[in-house]
Amino acid sequence: MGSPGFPGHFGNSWHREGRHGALSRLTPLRICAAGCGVIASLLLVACEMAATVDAVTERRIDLTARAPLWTGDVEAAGYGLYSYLLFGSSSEAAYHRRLAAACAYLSVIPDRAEPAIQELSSENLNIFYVPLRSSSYRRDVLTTQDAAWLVANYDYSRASLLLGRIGEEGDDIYLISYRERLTRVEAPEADQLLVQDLSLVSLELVELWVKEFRRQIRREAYWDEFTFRQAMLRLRSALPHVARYVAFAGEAIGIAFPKPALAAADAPTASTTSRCETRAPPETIESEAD
Amino acid sequence: MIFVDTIKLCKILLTHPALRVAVISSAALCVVFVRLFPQEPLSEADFVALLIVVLAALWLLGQFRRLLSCGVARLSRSFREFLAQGR
Repeated sequence: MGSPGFPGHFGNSWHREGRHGALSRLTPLRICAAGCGVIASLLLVACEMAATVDAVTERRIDLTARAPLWTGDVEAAGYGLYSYLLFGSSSEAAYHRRLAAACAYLSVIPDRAEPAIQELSSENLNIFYVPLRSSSYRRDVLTTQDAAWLVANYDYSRASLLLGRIGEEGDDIYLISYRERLTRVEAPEADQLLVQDLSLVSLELVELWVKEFRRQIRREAYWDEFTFRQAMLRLRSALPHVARYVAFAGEAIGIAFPKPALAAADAPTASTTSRCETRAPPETIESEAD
Repeated sequence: MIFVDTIKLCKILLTHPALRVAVISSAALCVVFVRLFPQEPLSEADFVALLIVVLAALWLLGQFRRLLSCGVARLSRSFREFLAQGR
């Protein structure tokens, strides 16, 4: 016969009957937990697959090494890949960002002049150039402490020239990779050019981007940015900005509805200072540039 | 006091279905971030930001689903009306 309760409503009667059945165990909480578990498992599998794919295709470039590109000099021929750290302009507003990029460049990438790297074949090397002014005192080996010196002696005109060749004219920081020397190529092929714009990357994550850039160019298809890892990197890079907006919103709410506890809790937490800032204050640049 | 507040917050976050999904998804994404970028762990502020981003994405997905189901329902109704007119 019919179900007890509400014979006219099939859904309710089914629900009442099923309360003691196997399906009744599927509460919303369990469904949510199972769904999230499946999502988490899929994401972890994707992580593992991304790592495996990277391991398989990492064969073209063995190592990335840095070298200065002095004004008037041309890149040395014979390298497997050519990368450049390019600053769009010398604006004061982006000084700390440039300093952070220079610091990451010097700390993450080993110098080509180091004895162990000199022994390696150029064909399997990615040479990472930074344009520098020739008028300045030429340093043979740059260390992490030279980040401020690097920013002060950067060759902005040459960087603009190189950026123009790849069709970029922004004011920010770019990491660029191409299979040939950019100064010798009139029009690089866009589909084999890797351009990473650090304009929206927070200072704390600049180093992570340089590390990921180094990892990215070890892949055979180094120009391919549509990977799971890159997507996660972009999401990760967006979080400090969102956190800052949340802090602003909290502050605004605190001003609109003044409560001592709320105002104290919503103080901005995101750090906006560079790791290199303490090491190289702006005064150092002026004194060294003079 | 902070401990009690945290428990209250967890209670609120885990009671509401949408928040519960967002919290668990954010936690899963956190694990992914730790796995991929262990050198830059998420701060508390970043986790809150991630939660908000996931919530926004879920809300957008919900809206999209609603829009889609509305559109499909309207389309099927129009199609039925069209067929009825044909008869």
